[in-house]
Amino acid sequence: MAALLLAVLAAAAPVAPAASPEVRANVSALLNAFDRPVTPEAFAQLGPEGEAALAEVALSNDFAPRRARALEVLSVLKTPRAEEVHRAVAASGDAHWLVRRAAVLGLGRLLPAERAASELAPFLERDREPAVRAAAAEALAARAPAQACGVVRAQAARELAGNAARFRSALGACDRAGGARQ
Amino acid sequence: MRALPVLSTASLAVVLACNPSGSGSPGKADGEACSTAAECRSGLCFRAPGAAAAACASSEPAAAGECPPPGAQIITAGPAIDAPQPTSCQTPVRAPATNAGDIAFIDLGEAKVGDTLRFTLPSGTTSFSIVSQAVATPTVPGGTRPPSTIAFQSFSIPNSVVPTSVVHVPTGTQYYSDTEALPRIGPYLDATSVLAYYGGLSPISGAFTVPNTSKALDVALTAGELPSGEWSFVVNDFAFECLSVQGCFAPAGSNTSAYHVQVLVEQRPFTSTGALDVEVYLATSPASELRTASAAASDPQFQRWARSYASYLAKAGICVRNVTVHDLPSWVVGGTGYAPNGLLDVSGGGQGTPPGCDDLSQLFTLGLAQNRAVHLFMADALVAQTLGGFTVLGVDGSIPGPSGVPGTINGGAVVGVTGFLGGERTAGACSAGGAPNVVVCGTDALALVSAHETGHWLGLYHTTEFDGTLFDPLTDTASCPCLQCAPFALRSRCAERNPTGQPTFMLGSYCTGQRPRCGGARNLMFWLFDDRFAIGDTSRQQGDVMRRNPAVR
Repeated sequence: MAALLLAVLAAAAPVAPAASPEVRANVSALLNAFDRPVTPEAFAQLGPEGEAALAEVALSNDFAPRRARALEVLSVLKTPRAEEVHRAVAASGDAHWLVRRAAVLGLGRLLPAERAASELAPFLERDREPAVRAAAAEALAARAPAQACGVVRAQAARELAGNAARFRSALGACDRAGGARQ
Repeated sequence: MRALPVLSTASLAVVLACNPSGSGSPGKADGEACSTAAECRSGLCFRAPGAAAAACASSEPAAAGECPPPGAQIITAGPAIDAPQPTSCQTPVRAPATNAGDIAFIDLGEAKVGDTLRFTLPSGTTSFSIVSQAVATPTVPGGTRPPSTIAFQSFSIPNSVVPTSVVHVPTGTQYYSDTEALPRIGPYLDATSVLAYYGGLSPISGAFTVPNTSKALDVALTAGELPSGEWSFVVNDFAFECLSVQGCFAPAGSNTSAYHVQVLVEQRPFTSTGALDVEVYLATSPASELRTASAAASDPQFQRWARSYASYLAKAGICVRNVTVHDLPSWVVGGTGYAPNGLLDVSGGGQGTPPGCDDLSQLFTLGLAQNRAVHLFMADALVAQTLGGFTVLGVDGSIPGPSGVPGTINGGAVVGVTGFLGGERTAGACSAGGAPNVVVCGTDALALVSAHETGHWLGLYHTTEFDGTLFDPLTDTASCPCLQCAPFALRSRCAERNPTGQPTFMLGSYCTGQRPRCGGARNLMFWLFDDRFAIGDTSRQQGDVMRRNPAVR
């Protein structure tokens, strides 16, 4: 699946430099800070090749936490290909929930409010993973509270009691934002 | 207070290597009499128990016992931690672990900052640890609760507790002062030649262990013990120091802060091996691979994690003996718990706002297994909302951890397990036998991360920090200074030249040389887990520091 995603993205994406083995290795290393967060600027210093390498990690069979971290970096840096990489991963049914959670949260950072509301709602309402549904709720509450807090609250009400904890953060954000109530 | 590094921009063309190594140089052979490690080819001058004098040696003798490293781990599900969910921030003062009677505790009671306390080390002492814990409602006359933070220039800094003026009274030898600057080699601080080092931030509670530098190890190993007799130190924290530092704002009460102080005295002889127990606490969701202690104890990947973890610590002469897994109260992973659904926000890094009240610190207060051990928490994933979402592989509450006094806000280390435990980049990678493979088996990668955090708990600092300007206090670990080791094109951004800008991050590929220069990427305590190189190596001195921690028996 990862190879297929890469092939599809390569065909559709604007021309971006491929990552050299050295940049690829350095990106992989920076995604592995033991106990000190590496700032987005450190990755930005690697330039377009760095973005290409991050996209490769995000779409690879690497360990889920590293793929998730690569997505976070891409979304914070808002690189040119970030949106399509996030979209591909979020739609990838066989990806680990931790990776798809990062993709959905990242889309919340990348998309304008109107599109976030429409594009993340399906993840909120239909994703099979509670963690991904909760991530969609969190992203919507942060990015598009006016448009989406109604559906966030509705979904939270539909969730099983065992999943309620996952929606607390989103509901709190909606309350603070004074978003629409149903 | 240790000043923030002010890096010289002059004379950078000639910069001496840090950590000049004492080993590998010409010198006396094993068995020849010595008075310091520098005389010995092996870098170790050691006085064995009962010996009349010290002699050069390649290592200390192995400990007598039944746990040669890596040992066979005994994994069990221990009693669940039972604690009601608190309604406010908890900063408890903890008592020694109930099973820690095989090590001497000296309870010095409550004291205020500025007070001089004294204790006596018996002959044969090989390490001691001073554990200080903030008292919220002091009973010592005039005592007040320590302030949370201080303001230094434009920075808000957690009010770290650290003893100062630590002195061996009979000889007048000062082992540590928190207000005196460290020596420098070129632009770099050099803590290898001082008798004690304290480099972390540990507000509210903290442990301080001697020996933890090359100099102190040499003094102690050459004598076969630390100096016996009376020692003194001044109860101290950053707020108290702040009162006499220009540009520092000390909150009210900074001169009356009260701490409860205990001293742990270790008399186990210097040996090249030791045994360690690990208490594991599960902050994981009901859907996790490690949903319960009993599930974890019988999980093949958890068992592999324990074996791999033990194999890394075995390189430091440590035998991991008992691995006891505990369930935490269910509210911990509930909506208002510290790790909702197993996602732990580590933004506070154990400091938080106010310090000690962040989820990570509060979680650590549940590390209540009554054992002189390392207390390792496992969450599903570590997240960092206030760090732009960027997460880390693990966090240790303090360096060193407060071994023997479980349940303080800095009394834990934590790793995120989901996606690593059982994660394979090639099919079957985590069911293969042989040595751990961190590149393809996530369980082994998790074990290396856990061993790294355990290294911090046992007193180790990063061999080289992220920007290549700060190094550990040991001479036999390679350092990797940015100006000497980064690619030429990136040296203009090195923090030595560019202290306020975005630094060059020291990648493993810059640090693959042999000691003493431009190395360290293979070391367990390199700042980065660069899996091209990381094999979890430790040096002899690192092993010595780890095995002197009271958690090791």
